[in-house]
Amino acid sequence: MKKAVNIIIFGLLLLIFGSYMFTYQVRQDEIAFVNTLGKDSDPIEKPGLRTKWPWPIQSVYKFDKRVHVKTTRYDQVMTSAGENEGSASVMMQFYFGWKIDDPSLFMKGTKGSDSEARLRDAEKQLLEIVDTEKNNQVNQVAMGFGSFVNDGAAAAKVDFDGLEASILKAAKDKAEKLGVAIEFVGIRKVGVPQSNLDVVLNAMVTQWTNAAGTTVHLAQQEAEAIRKKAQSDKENAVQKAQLEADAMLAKAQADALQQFKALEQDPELAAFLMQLEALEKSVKKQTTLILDDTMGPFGLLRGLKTPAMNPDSGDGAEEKE
Amino acid sequence: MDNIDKRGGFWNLLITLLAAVGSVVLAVVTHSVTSYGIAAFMVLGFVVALVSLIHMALREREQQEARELEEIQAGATNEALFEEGEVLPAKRSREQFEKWGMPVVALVMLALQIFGIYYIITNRLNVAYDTLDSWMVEGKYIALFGAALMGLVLFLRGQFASNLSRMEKQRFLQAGSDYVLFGAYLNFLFAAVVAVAFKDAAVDVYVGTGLVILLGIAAVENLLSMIFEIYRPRVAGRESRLLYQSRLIGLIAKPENLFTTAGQILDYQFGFKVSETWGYQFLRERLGVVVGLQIILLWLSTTIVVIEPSVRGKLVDGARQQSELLDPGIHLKLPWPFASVERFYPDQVHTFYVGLEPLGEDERPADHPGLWLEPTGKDYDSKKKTGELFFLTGSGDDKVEANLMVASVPVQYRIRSTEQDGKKWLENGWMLYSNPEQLLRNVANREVTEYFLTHDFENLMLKGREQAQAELRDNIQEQAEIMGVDILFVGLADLRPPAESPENVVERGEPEPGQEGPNLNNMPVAAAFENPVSAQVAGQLEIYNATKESQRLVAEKAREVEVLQYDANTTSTLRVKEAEARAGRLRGAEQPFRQAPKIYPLWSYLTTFERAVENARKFVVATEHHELEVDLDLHEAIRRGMTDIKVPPKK
Repeated sequence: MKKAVNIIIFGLLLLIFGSYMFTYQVRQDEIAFVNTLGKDSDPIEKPGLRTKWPWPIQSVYKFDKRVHVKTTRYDQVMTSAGENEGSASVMMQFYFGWKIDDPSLFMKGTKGSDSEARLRDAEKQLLEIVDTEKNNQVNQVAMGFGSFVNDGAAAAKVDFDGLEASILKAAKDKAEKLGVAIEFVGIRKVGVPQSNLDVVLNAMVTQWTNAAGTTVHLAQQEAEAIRKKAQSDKENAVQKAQLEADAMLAKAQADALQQFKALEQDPELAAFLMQLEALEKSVKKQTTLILDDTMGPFGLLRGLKTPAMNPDSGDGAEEKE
Repeated sequence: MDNIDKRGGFWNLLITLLAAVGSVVLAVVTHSVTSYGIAAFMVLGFVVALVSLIHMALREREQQEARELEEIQAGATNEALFEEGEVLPAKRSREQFEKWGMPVVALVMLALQIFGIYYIITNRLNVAYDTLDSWMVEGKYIALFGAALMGLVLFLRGQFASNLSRMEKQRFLQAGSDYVLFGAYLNFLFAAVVAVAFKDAAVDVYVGTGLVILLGIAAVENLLSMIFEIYRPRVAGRESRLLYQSRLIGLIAKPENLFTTAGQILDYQFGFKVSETWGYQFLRERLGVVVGLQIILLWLSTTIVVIEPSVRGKLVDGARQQSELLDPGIHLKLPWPFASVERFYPDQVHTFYVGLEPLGEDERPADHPGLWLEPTGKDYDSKKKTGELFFLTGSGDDKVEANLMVASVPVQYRIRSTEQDGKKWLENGWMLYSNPEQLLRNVANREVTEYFLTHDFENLMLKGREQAQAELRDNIQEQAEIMGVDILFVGLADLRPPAESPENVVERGEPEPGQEGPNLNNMPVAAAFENPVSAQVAGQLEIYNATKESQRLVAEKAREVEVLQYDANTTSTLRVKEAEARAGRLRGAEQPFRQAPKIYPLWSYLTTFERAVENARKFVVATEHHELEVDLDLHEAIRRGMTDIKVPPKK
């Protein structure tokens, strides 16, 4: 039993290692090449299990036929010098999709001990191509990172679609020689070079601090205007009302004057009545009167004499109020 | 007497030397982490084999010397010519070697182990983990065959030497043999790692990490052995402990020793010979078979694929022209490595972030509000250093070139699985790319970047957010349509101004003497962004106060005008009425005054006088011809008006 199991395990191991050594499989998404003592075969694209001689006589290279996506580094890209010489660069990152278009050319154009190494080599070459074209094209259309931004008054000077299309066109031609088709190029990120970060942030702080100051100043001005207008309205209205009141009093005075003219017809009686009125009004509570017997009805205190009583006699009277 | 097999020791030395050289060559060729770990162990194995050979030679010489001494003693008289210590130089050499040489060797081994760990971590492991996704083992075929060949040679020699040393109790041969056998297993492991690395090279990094940990454990064991050796009581005639022999390596090389140890422990614990039971014996003898069967079963199980609900599998093998898309359920396929299934997760909602990825729920500080001035996020500092953290946006001011924003934009999407508009989206969209999710991330990044560049910071932060979300979703959808995904949601909740100030955003050293640093604001941008907001609030408050004051003045104006008008009205009316009344009174008194010119004035006078002085205090001086002196105290005891106050009636 133990021997049988050992044989089975050994057989399986032999099968696995043997299959590695003497067979290879081409899958649906793959293209394969068999290298026999340094000479590459034609590309094998049809899926299936095939036989081969073990390494080092034959070795197999297999590549993924699908579209691969590669991202460039987030790099500083020079632009044509703008108004501000110091900021004539921009940080940019691109991505691109590529696939093997001509397998034979791809095998010739890449180097490496196995498929992965060749794919890496291809990606390295493609990165160099895209990086070069990226620098060339960006340099033609951009002047510093500001060219990519809407500045409030005008639209951005750099058109994303146009820039991507120009890089794709230029890179595609060069990649064809490698047996590779670049399917698309995209801008992944645009940013400010690290050396300019402080300047941009400083401008932001200044912009907002100034905006805050302007806002407060405008608000204060508006508030002051509101206050002044209200004060002025009030003063005008009061002044106008005062004038109207004066006019009204003057009119009343004129009306009263007609009545005074009537008094002029009997001045003696009018004076007497006014004196009586004044007397009544002027003597009030908490008034101390020191009167002698000649005044008012107090003559009676000396006995009944003549009835002659002069209402106008007020001599000797003192009044304190 | 010890059994000494110097020839065996020499073979061990030769084989470990070849293995060490071979391992180093494989490490250099493949750059694999695992191969570096194996090379470190093989170099240690060579040192152990060398030392054990020297030890064997010394011991053999000592035994030969002892035999000669016995012969001399047998033929000599009873009196000893020399003291034993003086006539046994070989014994003294062996003792001196064990006393000084072995600790030195152990120290050298410890130094090699520490150096190996340090070298692998700094030169390979750090790099490997940084580039785990693209990690690869170079020269795989050379590695595969080289490791398998070395493993086979080492295994044959290791098995023989190990069994020989165990059967003949050759303890000096044991240490080197353990390393040879252990080296064989390591090489088989490396061959397996290389085989798997054809599919996924990350396994090399994980196995390499395991070997580094094992090297560390061996170093600790070595150190502890040295410490214990210092305190071990020396007993004359007792065999010394071989410091260069590792129990750990011995256990791994000969796992049956584990059974022996485990058996002893079980016997002791249970109080009877568990190790002699049928079950224990079966397990001991057939463990390899059981493990082998399990491996076979495991391998056969790779023919069964279970596709869970809401998952689709792409079956890739060389057996058909087109790859087959597997629906949820159980399917059969060729065993590994002849077929593989790539899983996709359509119909599920997936999320990724453009910009700063927020920390997970468990990574965030508890009960800590999310403040702009205390930013958090994955890789925040490194992204800040490279500037990747910031998105460029418009400033809204033609005098300021651009603004910077920190954004964390979640994008939710769903991969289409069903056939729509006559197109199989999964096969003809998502599956056409080797890394479609990366492409989708790039597309989303592009659209967000472009959108931000063409919109003002303030607009994005305040008013335009909802519109931006909808437009971004549409833009990403348009670009990603070809991939067969539906963009479900793009969120712009987490947009914020940078927390850094212009002064501290860039790390700069101290300015040189005589040079001034740049004149930059030290206010964090996030704080500065709040200035206009607070200024707006302060401005609104100012206007509000002014408006209220204006309303007060308007009210005052109305009241004062009203009072003035009323006053003028009443005064003028009174004045007219008064004049009218006076005139009326005159007209009323005119007739009696004419008819009774004496009495009527007197009557009028007296009635008026009576009425007028009714409430006045009166002093009437009715004396005649007398001097009258009156002192008037004009001091008022009570304030005027006080007497007019109405006192409420007593209850």
